[in-house]
Amino acid sequence: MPAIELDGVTKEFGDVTAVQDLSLSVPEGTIFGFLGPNGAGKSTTIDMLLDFVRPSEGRISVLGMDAQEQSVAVRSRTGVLPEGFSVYDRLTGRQHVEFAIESKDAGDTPDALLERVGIADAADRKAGGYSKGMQQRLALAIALAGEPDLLILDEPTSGLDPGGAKELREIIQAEAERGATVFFSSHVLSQVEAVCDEVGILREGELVARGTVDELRDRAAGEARLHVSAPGLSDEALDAVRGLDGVGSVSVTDGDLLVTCDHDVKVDVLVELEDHGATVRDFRTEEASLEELFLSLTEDAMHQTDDDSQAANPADDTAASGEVSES
Amino acid sequence: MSWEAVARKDYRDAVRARWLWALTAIIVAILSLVSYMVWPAPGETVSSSRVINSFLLPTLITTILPLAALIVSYDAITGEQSSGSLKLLLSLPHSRTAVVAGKLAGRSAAVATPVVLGFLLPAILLAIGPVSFNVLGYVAFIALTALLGAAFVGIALGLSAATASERLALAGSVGAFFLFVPLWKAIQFPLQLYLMSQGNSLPVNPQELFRYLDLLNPTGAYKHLLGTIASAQSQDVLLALVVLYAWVFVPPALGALVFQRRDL
Repeated sequence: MPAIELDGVTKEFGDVTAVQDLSLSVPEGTIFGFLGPNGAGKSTTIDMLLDFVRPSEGRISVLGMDAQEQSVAVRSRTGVLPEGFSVYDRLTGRQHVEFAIESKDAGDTPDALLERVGIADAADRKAGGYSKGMQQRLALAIALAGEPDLLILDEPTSGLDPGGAKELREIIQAEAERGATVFFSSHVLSQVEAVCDEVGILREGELVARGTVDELRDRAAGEARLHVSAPGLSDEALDAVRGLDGVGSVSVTDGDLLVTCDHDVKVDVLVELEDHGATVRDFRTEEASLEELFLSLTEDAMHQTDDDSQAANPADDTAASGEVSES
Repeated sequence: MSWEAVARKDYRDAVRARWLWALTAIIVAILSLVSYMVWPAPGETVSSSRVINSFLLPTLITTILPLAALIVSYDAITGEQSSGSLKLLLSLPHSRTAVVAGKLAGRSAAVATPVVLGFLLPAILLAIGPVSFNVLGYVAFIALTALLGAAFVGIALGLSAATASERLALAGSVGAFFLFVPLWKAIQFPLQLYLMSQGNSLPVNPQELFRYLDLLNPTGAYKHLLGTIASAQSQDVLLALVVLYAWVFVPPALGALVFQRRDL
């Protein structure tokens, strides 16, 4: 039985479609990375798993139960670290955790949970005075109460320093070893890559890739970045290139073209350009990294990158595009 | 029980707020003022039922307490939604109905706390002085006052659960205050004149109609019940109690229905 199963799920807010015909199955016991840029529909999907919002169409089951009809039962076996939450300013850290334990009818001791997330020394301080990172740790302690069968972590590393992110990964791994399924959303690939068995990539409400990290890595290795310097590029030429099988993204900066595509269609791209009246003056190829695959899957294909230095090394490239996608 | 956990948490949270101590102080001040005004000549005593039914006390209580209850409850749910703590609350296994029920119990208890403290502690001093206590009557008075607070918690909580924005919930609560506290009587007077001018052509007796209209208002029902404590006449006691309890439970129940269907 899958821990999470979405079947043809669509969510519309007014005339905005946040999630579009999403079908996804997360097997029990896996650490699943749910990737995508901000605004791709990750939080809406998570909100639907928890019955905070209801799908316009489709069915969702969590731990074998209907996510809407049996939401309380779902949440009694699920630990959640929500995104954009706030704590109760006037209650102490310990009181928060006590409330979670009481709510879940769990046998944990508050101090052990607070110890585990590293804020035991702040247990009796009011949570309103906690830093963002400490509040994030407190929410994690609440999520861990009651040994949940499923952990849903929405952008869990936001507000954590690198040390905190590492501790979080260790906790995630320990929970998975205990047998829990972990569903982990992020807009930063590196955080998911290090810990996830499988990932799904969401873009504009649709699932655009799904597989193990290794499968995606293989797919990235099969992709090339082709830089073409070709004056006289027409829109028809660009559309023709986009229409080729095996071409990922196509973008133009200052008359220079960047195409991500399969290795074996590089020549086809050049031929297609010449056929549509462009003069290929120069071209150069690079191997794409997993990061670039992620970016090419999540960026708008029409999006013009700020990548105006064709000689820039791929690492700089990635950093520049990364900023664009996170903004 | 799920709602009990929410109620305990909400009470713990609410009693740490400053308003609660301010309200306690105001209640002590009101009680002192009223006691001073009915203070008997040396050697004589005054009954506690007289103190609680002097003109000033019910009027002040039915002004201050609804205001306090509405203010502390209008954001019970909308406030948590806009701050984001509702996400933390609902990530735990509570149904939305249990959240509303828990909030009703927690906030009502939080409003009852200054009522009990504010009326009980000075009462001990007054009992040493010239006030002769009708203990049962005084306890009933405190319980009724707490119930009046709960009625206005219920009204504000219902609005808070039903509306998606804090501003709407606040506007609704301010509206409820003006409706039930200053306006009810103000509307009644011209209506009364109008009905009188219609003479005997009406199917109902206007006096009767206004008596029931008054009882429908939670503050009217409360004042009526205070009157019965002193005079031991029991007309409409049950009706007034039903009205007060209905204000406690019906608005949150309707609010919960809307809240249940809403996207957060």
